[in-house]
Amino acid sequence: MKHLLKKVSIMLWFLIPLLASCSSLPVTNNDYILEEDKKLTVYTSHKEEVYSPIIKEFEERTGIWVQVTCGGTSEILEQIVAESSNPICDVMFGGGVESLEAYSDYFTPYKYSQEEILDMTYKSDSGKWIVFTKLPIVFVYNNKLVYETAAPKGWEDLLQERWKGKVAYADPHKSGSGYTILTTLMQVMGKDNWDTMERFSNILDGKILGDSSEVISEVASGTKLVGITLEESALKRIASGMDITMVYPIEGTSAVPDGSALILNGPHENNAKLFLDFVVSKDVQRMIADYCYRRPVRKDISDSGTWGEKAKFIDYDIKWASNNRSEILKKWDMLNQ
Amino acid sequence: MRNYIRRSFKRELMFSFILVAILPLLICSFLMIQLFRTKIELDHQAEIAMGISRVERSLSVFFDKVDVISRELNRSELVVQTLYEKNEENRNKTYQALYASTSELRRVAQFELYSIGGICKYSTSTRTLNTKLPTYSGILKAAADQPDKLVIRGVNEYTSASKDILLRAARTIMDNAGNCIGYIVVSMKSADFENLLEDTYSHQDSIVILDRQWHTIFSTEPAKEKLIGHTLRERLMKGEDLSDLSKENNFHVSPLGSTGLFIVLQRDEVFTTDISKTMYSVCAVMTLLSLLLCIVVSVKISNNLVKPIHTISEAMHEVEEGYLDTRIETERIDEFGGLAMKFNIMTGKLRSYMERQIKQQQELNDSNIAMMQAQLNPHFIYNTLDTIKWVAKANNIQEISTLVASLAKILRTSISSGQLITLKEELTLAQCYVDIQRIRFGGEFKYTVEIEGDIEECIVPKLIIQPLVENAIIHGLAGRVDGNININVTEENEKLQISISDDGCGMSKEMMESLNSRDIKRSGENIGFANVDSIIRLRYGDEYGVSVSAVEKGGTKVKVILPFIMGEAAEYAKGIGG
Repeated sequence: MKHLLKKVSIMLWFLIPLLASCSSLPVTNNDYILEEDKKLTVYTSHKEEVYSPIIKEFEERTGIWVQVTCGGTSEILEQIVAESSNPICDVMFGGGVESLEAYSDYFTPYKYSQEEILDMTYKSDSGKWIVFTKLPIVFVYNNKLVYETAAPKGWEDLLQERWKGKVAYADPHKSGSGYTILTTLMQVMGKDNWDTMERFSNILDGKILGDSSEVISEVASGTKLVGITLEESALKRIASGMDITMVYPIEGTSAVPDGSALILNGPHENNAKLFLDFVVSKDVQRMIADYCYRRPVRKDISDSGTWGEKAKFIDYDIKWASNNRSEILKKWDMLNQ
Repeated sequence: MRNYIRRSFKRELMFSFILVAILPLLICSFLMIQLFRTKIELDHQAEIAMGISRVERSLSVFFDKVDVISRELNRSELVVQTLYEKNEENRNKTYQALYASTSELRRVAQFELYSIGGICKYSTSTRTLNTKLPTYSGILKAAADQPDKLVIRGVNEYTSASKDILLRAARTIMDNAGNCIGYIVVSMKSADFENLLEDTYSHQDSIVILDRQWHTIFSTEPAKEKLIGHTLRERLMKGEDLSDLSKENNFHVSPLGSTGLFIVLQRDEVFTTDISKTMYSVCAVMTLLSLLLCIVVSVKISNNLVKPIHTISEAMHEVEEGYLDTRIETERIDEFGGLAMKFNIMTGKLRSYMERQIKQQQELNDSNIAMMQAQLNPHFIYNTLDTIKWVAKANNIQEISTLVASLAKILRTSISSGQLITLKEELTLAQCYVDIQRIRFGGEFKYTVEIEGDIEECIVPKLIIQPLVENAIIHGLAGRVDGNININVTEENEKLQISISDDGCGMSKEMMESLNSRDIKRSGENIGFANVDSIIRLRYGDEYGVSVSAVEKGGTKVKVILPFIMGEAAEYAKGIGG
């Protein structure tokens, strides 16, 4: 009896793993392994409609697989800081150059081989970021509610009492463009003239929008009459059929570029460099000029195409804007409590 | 544990039942579930492989056809001319040609002819007509880079005209000089894919088509919900193995020929953990039920077995305590009924045996009492005899004195409770008897005792010589006034030999034979002789005893053979005598 039991138990010991092994049949999917030198991780603050065709074209041309993480500029930059001890990301794609400058400690200098062909009005002293596109600030107004003759012509015009409570503008804390607009206004009206801010605040009448994308919507819907926003957004909405008009301020406006940067100690540096070269290459710059309503930074691509009237640009002081950021925002908060 | 089980029959039984009932059930169900699962999984894998090969075939066939058609159009003079010139007549002809060659495939794709500048000149769909594609990037650039090759790409373009288009295939059109003069573009929308893959997959399958970098080109609704393409790409990007994912979700990835595309087919496992959980819980319930059954049945059976054993054991205990009236009442007719019946019979017999024993003991006691009552105080008799002796002496009646003294001696010896006496005492007893008989019969016979050495102290049974002497006086010397009685005692080979011979009338031959044959019935009046013989034989065995023989000169010789016993036996005899 004992012998039999032993035999049966031995049989079972053999049978059970056999059965168990049957359930894990070999799957042919194991062959798919992506080599490390075929990878690239890109963090971007661009919208998907902007970055996605660029990434696609990059992948098709190079055979490199790109992992994209997108989000707000400051959100993504903070993530890069958090990961700095063990970077995951290779490239920061997008974000105003003021912001990139502020986080330049986490980037590696990289020089585009054909730098002379780029518009270097705004460039990084340390070479830690490369400009991507120029983004002028413009006014928009609702064609139905504002006569063309009555529309604001410039910054001074916008600060008149008649626009009080009628101007759409995004919070400079939350929106990068909002801050650029504020500093552009101050630079146009004289940097040390804090009155300008007070006047601007008075015109806004405490009605500040949370997100820059709301600016044009508010104007189009008629809630506000005039909005301050980026040229890119205005052109895009006009092209999509919104009944609004874009105005370049007569005093001049800023065209602060966004840029891209090579992350310090990123895991795929070579691929990252390929990507940085690619986004300022002629083909990509043409694509964004042709389809994204953005101003390319290459001199060999004409500013024509989708652009409207010639605008006047001021020499925007990036350093002043980024160095005085906290002071400016503090004053702004005091005025808008 | 083992000891715990073995201490109780009920537990042993229950354990055995459980072992016999539950173990096979458990093994059986486990094996069944595993086999079932294995079988289903094998089928499942086979079905997935089949499904993917169907999808693969239909897509390959489609791309082959597209390849052929685009090559044909490329070679067509008409197309080349049309793209060069703007001729309304040619335009219609070109359209006719385009529609004719694509008739088979228009249901699953739209065909377009693009000019060298990237403007859509001819299209089987109206929406894309006159829209523009960049020639410096995207599909047209790729086609221009690889002339004479059908370039296939997932679509991710800025143009709003390509909004719904998921996949494009393009080929450059060359003029005779080998210059690129335009492009043939094949575009597929989601609906086109659905038409193309119709009937190649079942509704529970999820199909995903991936491009080179595993971006999802097309996926069926369930696949979209499950984000299969996205998940797979994420895993690959993270450098993770797909094997565990594919095991969980049962998907299969397969490259689609030379197109650079991949097909993913995913089908939910039929044998989900839910099902196996259900099966296992059914097994558990079954096991529980049979466990319950085992317990109930084993309790019942063991009660059935153990209860009568307990009853019998209790009954035995009662019998042990002495209650022989104990009976087992049972209505069973099986082995236990038989056992109970036998027990009852046994106790009954035991009881009657005990009763008999008691009765016998009673009787014995009664006779002892009677005997004790019958006994007179021997001291009184001796004293009386002593008194008679002294009275006779005082009155000078010698004969009375001798008679009484001898009688007293005989009485003393024969009444004494011991069975053994010394030979000397026995001879004295015989002497006394002879003295009395001599006075009684007034005969002048001679009585002599010859004894060798000092064997007088040996031990013999009481009253063995006196009856033989009595026989010799009463029968041997009957009617004679003189005569000799001689007693000769010798010891030889540890045997005491006592011969009593007389020179009397002798004994008839028949009588002698009868005595020697030890036939007590026939020995008749010679009861004394037979008794002595019996006493000796009973005590010492058949080699000892009494024999009788005739003496030549006339008379009889009786020979008594006894074992020669001395020593402590003598003391023993003394002790008895005292």
